[in-house]
Amino acid sequence: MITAHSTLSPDVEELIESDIRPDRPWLCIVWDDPVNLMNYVTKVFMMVFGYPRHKATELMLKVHTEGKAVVSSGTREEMERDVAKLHEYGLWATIQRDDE
Amino acid sequence: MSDREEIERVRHTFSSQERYVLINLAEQILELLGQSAVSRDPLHDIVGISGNELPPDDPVLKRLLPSAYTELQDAAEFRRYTEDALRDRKRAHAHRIREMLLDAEGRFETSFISESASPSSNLSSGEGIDVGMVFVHGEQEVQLSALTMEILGEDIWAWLGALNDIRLALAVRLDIGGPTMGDLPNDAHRAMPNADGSGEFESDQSSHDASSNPANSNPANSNQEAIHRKYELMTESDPMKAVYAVYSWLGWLQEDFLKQMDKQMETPEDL
Repeated sequence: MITAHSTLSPDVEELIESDIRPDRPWLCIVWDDPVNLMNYVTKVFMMVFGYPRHKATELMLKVHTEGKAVVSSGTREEMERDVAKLHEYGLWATIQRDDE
Repeated sequence: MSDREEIERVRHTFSSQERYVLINLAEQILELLGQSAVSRDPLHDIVGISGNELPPDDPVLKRLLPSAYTELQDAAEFRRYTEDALRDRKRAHAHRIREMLLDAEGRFETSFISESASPSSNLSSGEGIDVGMVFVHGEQEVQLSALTMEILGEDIWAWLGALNDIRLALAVRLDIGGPTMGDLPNDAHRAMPNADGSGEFESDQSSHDASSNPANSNPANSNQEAIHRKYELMTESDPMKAVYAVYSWLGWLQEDFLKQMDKQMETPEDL
């Protein structure tokens, strides 16, 4: 958590709070695309997120069977970096706010 | 562990015909990604903001440069600030594989290349020695023969990314994955009253018929099997059969690279 909030105006402080609140983060979602090979998608998850193989495989299978999966969560900036990387390697990814 | 063992490497022998086809496809991707979708903002060249807010009209570009948000305004803003960088990175991948396929002299710092006559494979017509092909490169003619490449480190990901982009592009032409596109967030942009409808997916019609809730179990998987069967049953004379053959070959190639990477991860001491 950021500890220097006291130096910021209340508005900015509120904005930052809402962006980094760990209970309501931003999500990166990958959508199924039948073109992308299952092994490839797994490997991209391992490379982009540093996930171990079993976790990457699990997420890939979720995308494949359910049509989409949340693959990472964090600040909006972090999710935008993740999505840019996934798009670079041809995965269909979007960012959204965790509404639950 | 020695330095040699820490560097990932994959090896593949391309026939002259495979080189020819892949160089051509990489150039098509380069050309496509080089096209600007809208007239450029004067700020563009100074700060690298593309000014593109809507997804590209071209169905292939739309597939290569998807929207990052389901919400229209966020998607537009993100695209405006990042689309050019994404195009550049994808172009860098395509450029790298084109360069490696064209240049047989082994003039690479990270990747070793050797050229030799070898038995033809997948795309070549029949068995025997590869007699080579001529690729016209600007004013130059480049003689292509069979080529064994060892691709190292970061180059492997340039290859995987570029092969995937080419497969995505071919898939649009083959209508593979088309029906699921209607389920995806980019669909929202088509509903915009001022969006130019001329570049819509050919599969729009069918996408509206398909089950439109991707949160439920995925209906796309069985649809895809039928599409693949269609191409497998197609006669050899149909030009789309050849496109499908290239698409399948590139998938096989990608899979081969991934298997070699896995093998290396599991038993580094053997390599």
